[in-house]
Amino acid sequence: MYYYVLFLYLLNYLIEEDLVVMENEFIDKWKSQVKKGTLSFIVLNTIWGKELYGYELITIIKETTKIEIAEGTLYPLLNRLKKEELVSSKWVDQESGIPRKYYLLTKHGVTTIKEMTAYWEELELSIKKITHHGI
Amino acid sequence: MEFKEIQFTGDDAQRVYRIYIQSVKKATQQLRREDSLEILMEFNSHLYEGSRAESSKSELSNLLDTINDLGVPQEVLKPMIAEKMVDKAARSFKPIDIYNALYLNIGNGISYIIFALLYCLVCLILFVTVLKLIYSDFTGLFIGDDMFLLGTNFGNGTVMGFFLDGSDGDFSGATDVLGNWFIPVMLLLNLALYLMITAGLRIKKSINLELKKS
Repeated sequence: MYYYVLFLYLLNYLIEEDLVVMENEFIDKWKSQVKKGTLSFIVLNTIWGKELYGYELITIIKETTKIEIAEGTLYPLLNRLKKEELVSSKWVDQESGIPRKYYLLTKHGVTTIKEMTAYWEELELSIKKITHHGI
Repeated sequence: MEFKEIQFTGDDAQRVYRIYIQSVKKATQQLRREDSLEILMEFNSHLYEGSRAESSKSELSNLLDTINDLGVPQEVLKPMIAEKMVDKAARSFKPIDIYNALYLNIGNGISYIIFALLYCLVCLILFVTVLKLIYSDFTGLFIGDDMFLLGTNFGNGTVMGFFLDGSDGDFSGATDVLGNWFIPVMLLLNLALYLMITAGLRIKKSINLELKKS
């Protein structure tokens, strides 16, 4: 009898542990998807109205959003944004001899970020309605 | 613009830096020289800024942190290299560039699978052309009633190549319409197909870009 109760207790514990792990996995996956989906929006917003070089841009994003990003992945993203003519770039010589590549929004980029911001605000409002009052 | 190596005071930092730069060079070696240089210089700039970010730490410690945050070049640069390889292939028309571009992009959409299949078709036609050199009497473009064969007819219903068969593998009634012209015609057809498919790859890239912009 004692072993039977112990077995049930252990089984219950394992199931609960499993459920917690599954829940965490789901949340982690969701967070990663949200991060991935909003990264270009964050990057475009960060360079809106200013010229930033790669390292500076990453530092600002990390400090302001607390998002942990693989820094190397940001360069392919910037390259894609450049290809879609949302940002432009220029090399600027430095005293150190190691030039910096500065990124800035193009006209097309400004129009796009305005549209993205409007949609984001709309989405935020809808989500707030759902999360505060339920559907 | 030229690449300038960062000078570290410590030998260990210099060694670590050189190893990382080498891995960036290796990861981008398939790209056009200017694309490869652009990526190398950007990573170099990032390493420079990162290695001087925190004065409380040693240069080696700062460099290792920066390298750790940047990630392995072969992995983080993969999407960028895949995209730039398509550009290179569409410009150079070189089979090796096309192979690399398709290999890196095969998982990036159905269109790349279609292009890969079209290039396979080119390879098959080339294969049939080679067959003509080996089995000259049995290889050709055979056309007859309800039958078509572009390839080799070994007899006894054994054929190799592209065929439309309305007579259960019996191509004895079909005529070789090209004869000795088979090899030059096939080579020309191959070249035309190759150029058309590669031009299609180039057009696809510009259409994609236009669609994204609109």
